[in-house]
Amino acid sequence: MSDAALAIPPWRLGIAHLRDRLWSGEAAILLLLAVVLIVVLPPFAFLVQASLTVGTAAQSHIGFDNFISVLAHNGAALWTNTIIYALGSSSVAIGLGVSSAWLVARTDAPFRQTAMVAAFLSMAVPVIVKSIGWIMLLGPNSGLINVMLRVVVGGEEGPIQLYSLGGMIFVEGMLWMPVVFLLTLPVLGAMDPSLEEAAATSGADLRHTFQRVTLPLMRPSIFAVFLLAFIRALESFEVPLLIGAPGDLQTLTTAIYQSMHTGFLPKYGEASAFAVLLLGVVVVPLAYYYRLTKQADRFATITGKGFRPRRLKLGLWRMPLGLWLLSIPLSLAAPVLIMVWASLLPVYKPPQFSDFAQLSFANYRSVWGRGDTLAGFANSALIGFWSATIVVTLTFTAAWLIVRYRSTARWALDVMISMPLVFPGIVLGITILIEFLALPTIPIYGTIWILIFAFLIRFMPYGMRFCHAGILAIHRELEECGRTCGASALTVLRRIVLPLALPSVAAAWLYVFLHSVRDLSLAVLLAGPGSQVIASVILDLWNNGEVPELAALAVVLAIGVTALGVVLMWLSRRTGSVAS
Amino acid sequence: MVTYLTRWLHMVALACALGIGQANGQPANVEAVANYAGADRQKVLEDGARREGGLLLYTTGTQIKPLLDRFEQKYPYLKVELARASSADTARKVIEEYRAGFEKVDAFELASHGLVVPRDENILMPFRSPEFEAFVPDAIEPKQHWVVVRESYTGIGFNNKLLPPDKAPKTYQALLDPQWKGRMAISGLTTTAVNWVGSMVIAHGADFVRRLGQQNIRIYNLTGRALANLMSAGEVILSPTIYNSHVAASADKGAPLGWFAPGPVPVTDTGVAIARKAPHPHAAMLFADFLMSKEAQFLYQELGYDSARRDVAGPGAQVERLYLTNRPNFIRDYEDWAKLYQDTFVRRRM
Repeated sequence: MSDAALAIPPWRLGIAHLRDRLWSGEAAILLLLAVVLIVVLPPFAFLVQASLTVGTAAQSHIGFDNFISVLAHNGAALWTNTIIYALGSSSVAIGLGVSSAWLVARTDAPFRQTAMVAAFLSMAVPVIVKSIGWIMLLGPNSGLINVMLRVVVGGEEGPIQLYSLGGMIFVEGMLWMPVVFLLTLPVLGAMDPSLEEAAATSGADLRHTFQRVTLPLMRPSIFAVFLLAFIRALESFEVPLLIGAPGDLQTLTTAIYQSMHTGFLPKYGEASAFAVLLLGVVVVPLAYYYRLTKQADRFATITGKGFRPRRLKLGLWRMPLGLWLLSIPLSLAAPVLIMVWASLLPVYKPPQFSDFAQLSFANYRSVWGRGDTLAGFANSALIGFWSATIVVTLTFTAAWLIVRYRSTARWALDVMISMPLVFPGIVLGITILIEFLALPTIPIYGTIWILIFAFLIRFMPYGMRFCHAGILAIHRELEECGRTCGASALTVLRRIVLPLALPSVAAAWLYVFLHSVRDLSLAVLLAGPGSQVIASVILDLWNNGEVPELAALAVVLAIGVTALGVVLMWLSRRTGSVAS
Repeated sequence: MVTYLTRWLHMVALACALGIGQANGQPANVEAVANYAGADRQKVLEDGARREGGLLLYTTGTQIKPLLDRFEQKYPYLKVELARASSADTARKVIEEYRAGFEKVDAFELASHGLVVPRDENILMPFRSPEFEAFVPDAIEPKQHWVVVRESYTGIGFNNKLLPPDKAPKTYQALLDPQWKGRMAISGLTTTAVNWVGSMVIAHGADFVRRLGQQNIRIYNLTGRALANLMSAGEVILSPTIYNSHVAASADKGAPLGWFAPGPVPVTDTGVAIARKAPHPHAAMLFADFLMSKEAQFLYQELGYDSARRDVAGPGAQVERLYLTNRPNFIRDYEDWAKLYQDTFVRRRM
């Protein structure tokens, strides 16, 4: 700063100037890092403490026993199962998700809308309902598909073995496929087609264009979503418990789940130690991701050149690829459809034509008749709205700062935001419960705000990956253009980056909204008498085993969410295309 | 300056203490209210409850909605507020709340499993009621911390279309028959499975359980009722962890299900309890009285549960029942059974 500048009194610098300095990178990143630390550190400290505490509350000591017992869970089989399952299911999700997103966004394949609707529909249905749907379809004894196949191939059981490693990979892969689809769709949709056209002009065929141009450009997005799917699969226990256990298959998470329940009160030591170990699995690939995306411009597909996304003509391949695209919504919808059938019948049974006479909406009436359903929906929608809005605001700002500024703190910021990915739901819930009971000065205990706070922590990592992939696709020249014309950093962010990244931001918003509406573990622990949520109703129906009613509720939820999703995506694409 | 600041701090502390005292009502009274036995008991409770205006109940589900409706109809000046979570979550939550001095809950209607630890942490207030006389002694917790107001039993359930009742196994020993190898399934949700193992240990010993482990029983991590649903769909043919109440309810709607008690069966029991520092003790006591009353017990029965009241004998009255949580060393026993369950059924192929 020159002497002349020093001579100007500080108030003359003006608020706009200060604001610009704040937005100039470093300071803003540090500020955001401080906010994130305040939010993330208490549960992290609790997690580390729980992982190091050995024994019961009365006679506990500090030690590494939990880590040792996680690593010593017997046998290579357990680790092999876990790794194969995580790699397999994330690969299935990526393979199906990316290919169908490409077909929907970039080609003239038929059934594109169907694929999109199915992705939303599938995301809204609770895992429990879908898993039971798969058992109804593929169960070894009376699974509908197996029964039909047996007519052809004979035999007493099977032939498809759902309770196997393959079955687990398939079911988990199908759970994640819609997320991959929604994460890559906006990036692909906004892609400058001139690159693909150049490839085509140079004589590359469809396969080569996809392999050599489209895929490399999407590497950061694919890697980001692979990371999410892989880590989630490593720590997921629903599918291993529901689909693996009947086939005597154990993964690391089921072993940890079992050890958690050897005591009368659940023991969280091993689960916490595992989570701490998983942090390594988050931090190392993130470092790789940073090397990969160091030259952000290489992956920018939205540039200053005017373009009109043009669909690739598939020619002869149109119908076969269309059928492939159709098979995905069908397999996403299949377990939901069989549960819709179950929801129309008084008792659970495999579909038969003779049951048509018995079909009724009794389960739907009974779900709506519950006093708590409507109140639960209202509270959940409110919680979902605020959680999604806060998560997206925070992660959008953070992602933009991280992509645009070379600050050394940016990696730390991303690690901190991504860290909650490994927090086990129950540990996070208990920490937040204790935290706000100890802080009566912030009177949010028992209100919906404690849930919103919990969901902020839980879904930050997801918001981050969606927004990061979206912003990475925008070339810096567009922002520079705005700055040259005299716009402030905030204006650039609001008027240029946000509209262009809107499809990704909308996908992130929707993801957080949906998952906070259907999250069970946190919601049920933290909801107070005045803030009962729809998750309590889901859990209630589940605990009482009223699966047909649960299916009815899931269908209502799915229809609402699908409508919301389609409208949001349509709006965001419209705004996006206007802005570009 | 320092003196002024100290005095100001004292005043703030005093104001806080008064505030907390008021928020908690009159905790010293809870014990007196919960054990009052005077002739004017009902009037004292009603007068007190009228001043209190309502109560906060921690419970698991909404199955009991018809009972809450009837209670509010009977005492129109009382409003029942609910916070719902699983019994384990509720236990954890109330322990943390009491540690932090957040004492808002008045009463519990919770699986006895979830009441054990709050009792040991001194969060439950023992109580007395004229209704006690009608109950079988096992249904009253030995130190009167809770009374079992609804119960159901896990026994052998089967799909009677795929397995005619005369061919189904009817005792625990019959499950060892080689013909059932690989054909049985159980609900692997912890309390259901562990209580089932515990009952067999009590009836036939741990070795019997280990022999049963050789039968390759398929584990579904689903609730007993969801397993019963898979059974009515024909996916599961035979299971020793099926609740009688679910079979009765589904069979009424035409599901092909049958049920036997194979010997002494574990009782899945839900008790009513009063919080030690309940802000609304009169309302809480009236609520407990109501749930134990003959009228409420008949309402529970209509919902498919059995009753531990002698004058409300249901279909479960003939079954030999094991109230496991009443055992003197229940937590230790439970942990032994949990280990036996995991070693025998879960980890057998690891």
